[in-house]
Amino acid sequence: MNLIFRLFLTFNATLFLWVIFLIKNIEDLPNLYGYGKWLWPFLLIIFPFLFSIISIIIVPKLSKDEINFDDIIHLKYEDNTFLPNYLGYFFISLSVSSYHNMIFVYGILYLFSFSSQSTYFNPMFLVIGYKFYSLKTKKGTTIYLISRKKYKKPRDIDKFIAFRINDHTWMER
Amino acid sequence: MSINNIFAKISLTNDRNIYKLISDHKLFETLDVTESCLIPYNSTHKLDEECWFRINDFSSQAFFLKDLKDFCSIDCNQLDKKMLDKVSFIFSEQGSEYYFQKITSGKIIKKKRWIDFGETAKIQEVQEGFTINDLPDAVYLKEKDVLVFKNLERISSIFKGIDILYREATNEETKIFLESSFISLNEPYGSDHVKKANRKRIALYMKKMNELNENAKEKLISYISEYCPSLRFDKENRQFHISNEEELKNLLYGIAENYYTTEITNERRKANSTQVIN
Repeated sequence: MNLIFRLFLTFNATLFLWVIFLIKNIEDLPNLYGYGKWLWPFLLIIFPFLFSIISIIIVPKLSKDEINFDDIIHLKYEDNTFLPNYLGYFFISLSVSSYHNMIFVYGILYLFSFSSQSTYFNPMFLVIGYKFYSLKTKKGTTIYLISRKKYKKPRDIDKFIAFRINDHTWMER
Repeated sequence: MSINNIFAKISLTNDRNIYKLISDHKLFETLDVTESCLIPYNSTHKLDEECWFRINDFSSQAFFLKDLKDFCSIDCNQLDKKMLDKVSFIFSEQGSEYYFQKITSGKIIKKKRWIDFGETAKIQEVQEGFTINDLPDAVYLKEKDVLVFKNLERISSIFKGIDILYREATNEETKIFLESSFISLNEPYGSDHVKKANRKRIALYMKKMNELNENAKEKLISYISEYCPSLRFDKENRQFHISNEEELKNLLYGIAENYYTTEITNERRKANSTQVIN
């Protein structure tokens, strides 16, 4: 379960590579009675949006942990840290010229992304209203939390249940 | 709402971490004992079936499990399947209580099949796993800061150093005890012949004997000689003749003042286990 979910999350996080690549090569797509140029970008963007919602729906199947404000000594808002990494994907898509190059580049990026602990990072979560935080526990572990709640300090955290995406990342629904 | 998770402690030379094993499950039913059934630990006490030993102020003891300090499940990684056979004990966090079970090699099952009479009977198979006991080996009640258990030797590998509570007298200590002025040893019985049970008793009562003043010691000796006619007593030298384990045991029971007369029926009795009543 966990492995499949992580593969799915990685796909989700890297999907924008294809969206941008296809928008760049929009002439290759069916022209939809001449409206293709305007319709395709919107149609393509629906996919990452949809998959992000699906991934949030299956999150409760993951391992659960309870987080208490007693356990947390430090909290930091992290949205801005991740976004620049993601912008890098855009430049890659825009500079790859052919489809078979794109497949190869995507394959490598997928592998890197999957092997790193940032599989979950997907800016679509930001659009849906989720925020990224880093939390530090009393024992010194730093973890990432994806949550809809607006936290500013550890005291804002009440007891809540979070789902373990991996050993470094949790999501609160 | 509170989540009950199950954790495992790994015992490898380079890895003594706690890992998360299973999410959202309990290992045992919540412990339900009355306060009077929790008996302060005493190595010679024989527990009634429904009773448990207790150790108070557990978190300030030297054998406290340090991992339980500020315990938080997000500090623990998920256990990798490959490490299952390295697990030394498992525990579940159930509210503010922690339930422990030691994992010995006998608890690991490999490739077993059985028929499960569920709604329809079907064959179940386990590749590798642990069996779960009916009762936990130990429970830590965090709010009261009390550790509860039945058998101290069983949990000594979980709470390292807890065995100081049940320690047996060493050869040296046994020798010193048997050389006490009120004991006369009959050859060939000597300190080498003293077995585990009596060594435990010696470790426990040696201190008491040393702390008594002369007057009280005399009284104790008279008390033992009166209650234990089977123990040969040399009135002149005020010495007990000890020639075997049984006699030593009776003498040690005497030192523990385990002989008494019932108040109403005037019956003389020997208690093999006692408990202080407050």
